Amino acid sequence: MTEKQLDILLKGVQKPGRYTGGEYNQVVKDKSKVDVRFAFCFPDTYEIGMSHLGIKILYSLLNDIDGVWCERAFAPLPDMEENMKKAGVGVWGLESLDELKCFDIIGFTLQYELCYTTMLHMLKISDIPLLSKDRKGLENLVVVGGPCTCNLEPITDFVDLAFLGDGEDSMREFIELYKEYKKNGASKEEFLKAASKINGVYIPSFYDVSYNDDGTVKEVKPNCDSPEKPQKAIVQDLDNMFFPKTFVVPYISTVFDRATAEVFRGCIRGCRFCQAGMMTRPVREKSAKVVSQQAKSLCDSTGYDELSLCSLSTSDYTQIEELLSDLIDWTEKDKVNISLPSMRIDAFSPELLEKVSKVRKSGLTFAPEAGSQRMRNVINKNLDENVILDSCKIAFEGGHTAVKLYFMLGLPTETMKDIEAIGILGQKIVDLFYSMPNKPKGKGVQVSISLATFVPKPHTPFQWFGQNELELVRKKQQHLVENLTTKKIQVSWHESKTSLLEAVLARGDRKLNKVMLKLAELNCNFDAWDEYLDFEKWQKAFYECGLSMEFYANRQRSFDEVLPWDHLDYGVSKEFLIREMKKAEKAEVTQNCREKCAGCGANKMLKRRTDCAQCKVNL
Amino acid sequence: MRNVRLIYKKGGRAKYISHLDMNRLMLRVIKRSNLPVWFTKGFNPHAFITFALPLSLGFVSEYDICDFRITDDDFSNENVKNALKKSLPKDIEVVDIIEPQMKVKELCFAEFKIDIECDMQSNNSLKDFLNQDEIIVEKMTKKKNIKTFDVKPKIKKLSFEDTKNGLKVSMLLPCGGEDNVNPALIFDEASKNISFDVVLVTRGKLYNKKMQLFH
Repeated sequence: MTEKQLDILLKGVQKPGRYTGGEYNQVVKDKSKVDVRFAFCFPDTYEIGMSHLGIKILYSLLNDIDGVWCERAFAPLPDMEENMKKAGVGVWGLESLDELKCFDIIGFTLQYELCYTTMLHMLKISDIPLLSKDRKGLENLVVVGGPCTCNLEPITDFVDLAFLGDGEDSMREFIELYKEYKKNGASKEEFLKAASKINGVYIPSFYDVSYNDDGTVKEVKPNCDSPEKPQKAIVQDLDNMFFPKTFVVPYISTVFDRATAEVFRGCIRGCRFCQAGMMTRPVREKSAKVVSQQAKSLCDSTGYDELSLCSLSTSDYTQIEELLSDLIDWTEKDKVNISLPSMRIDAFSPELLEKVSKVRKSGLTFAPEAGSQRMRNVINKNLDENVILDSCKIAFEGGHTAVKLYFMLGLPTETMKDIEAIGILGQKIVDLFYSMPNKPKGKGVQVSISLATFVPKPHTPFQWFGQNELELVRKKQQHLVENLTTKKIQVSWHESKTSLLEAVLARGDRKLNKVMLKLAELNCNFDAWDEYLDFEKWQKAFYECGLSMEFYANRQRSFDEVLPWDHLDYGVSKEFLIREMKKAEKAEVTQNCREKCAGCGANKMLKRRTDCAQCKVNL
Repeated sequence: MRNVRLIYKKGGRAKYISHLDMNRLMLRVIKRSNLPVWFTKGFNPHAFITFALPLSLGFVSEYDICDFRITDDDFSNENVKNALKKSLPKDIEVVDIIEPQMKVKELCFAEFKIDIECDMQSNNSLKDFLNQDEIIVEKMTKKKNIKTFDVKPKIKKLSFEDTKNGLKVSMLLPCGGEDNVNPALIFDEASKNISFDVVLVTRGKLYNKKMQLFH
């Protein structure tokens, strides 16, 4: 496509900046001189995709390789798609404006389950065969990565190859192999066979799944010599890991429009509902010096005046104080603001509040996740009510008058009493505010409670748990609202249908491929957006395929059931997950990894020896 | 400390950068360029920059203006030019760096070139339309009422040039604080009865009341 054709396509389209590319720092290469062209697709809008750190790391990593040109592609919104349909144009790479069809490799990052339909839709409107078996050649290879590959089973028919875990090393190995096989004119089959030997690569078509009469999985077996249990890849040494020196700087404002420095991977906490915390183990830190240098390089080369530190539970970083003082050395001079998006409540201190609120007094958000102490022990949030109240006190003393609290609803062993406890905790915060002689003057207090419906995820201790049915979820939401006695507390929740579909896809098996194909035929797309989700189409697709959503979402599994993702090794052992689930039922807590090793097994993936007594036995 | 006027061109894919986004872009360009630009002293210090005239989304410009202050007097215009050149995205180009001679409020006229694709018949109709003694157009006021007025007396210069696929219209329109006419107003009205495609709108040079080049 030429720029002139693009001009015509963009007539009357909202926010054309989403579709033009041409931003500062984008990489343009001479396509006659590159060997491999890679389209890095984010199956959502430009604003969301360009906020994601992973795409920035891998974009730079790939473009650093000689002979490889990586471009970006995002999903068009309906107004743009309409124009594209009229012109007969598919999705294009923002750098060259060439359509996806022209690319050797089409890579999607799958960050949330509901983007699967958008991924299929992007392929469909780009005239690329949806099913892996219909794409015969080595070109247009569809590869995926991101957290969702930990249970890829619902979309295995469409994907040629998946990356499990950290992509930095496996992606590089993969691309070098592709380059070589393409040059030698190898077949797709030959290439995939060779690629299956790369650590962290999973080729779904090399595994056969058989089922029991009740629809559960009987067995997953490789049908060739690919590894029996593909293992996720981890980067061993974060200090020497590739990290981009610069980012593409968007013209239009995106969700997170700032420099992002990664601090560590993994999490010591072991919250039982949290997939990220389980899947990214073991903890690997970057040293403060390296983080600070990388952050400075990013700010200098992009012109960003906001820097965000990225990790799970950033306050658990062992060098946090050293890092903050290293950063402040240059950020104050350069007028760069630091934001810490992921902090635990118990790490909240007046000093920290001062650093964060230097910029502007925005609302504060805490995530107790559950209302009662018993429930917080069940999920192993390891957070005491006093700590929550103390933090709110610090916030109020610091001049804040609004706090937002995140809770989950529909957790294992939850009763109506636990739901009431959410409101009671909110009330205690309101009472605390009015009991303070030095409370901020003039304004009343505002406690916002945001309720999410719990979605059980694979590779977590709650992976066997049957999600609450929609009706029960609504009852619980209603119950909470009815038990409130003050207008100072506001309750909001997300559409629980979205959570239901997430639960279905998160723990789905290969039978769902049929449903996904049907949804693609029905043009489903942007299903993560309430305004585009058409739930009836999903119901129709399930009905026509003779499958039920309840089987996947609401069914309680037994520990001895073969789960659809059991053949994927994420480092954390099944025995550990079972142990944790059993403790959860008794509301027993597990200490964090620094206090006492819980023996999850993830440290076995580390090449260096650890000082953990329990893990040494396993090494 | 001294005032500096950046004159730049905006074309290619950069024409899809809105005015608001352009402001943010320029702040980042200045930060990347490491220029000693004067920052505001408020709670949120930021480089103090002023754009002379906003440009509609989708328009190309050949003579856009952005003013700021340099705190280091030893910094020559040539230095500023080189620093900015390195930091600007490819579709925004430095034309010149000068010491401002006119105030932004002296801005009075802007030159527009409109590339149009159409057949011979529409070509003639469009010329006739623009050559009328009176062209009544509709404009949405800030209060969302529609007001109609005759735009013809506001068109200061008007000329045509036939091209391979249609024609190129050049006109001089009022701009700035006192009066502002967007060429889209005129061509939207024309498109009600004539079929043509506006391929590209280019805003050319800017002038003051006496028709001297704004500088």
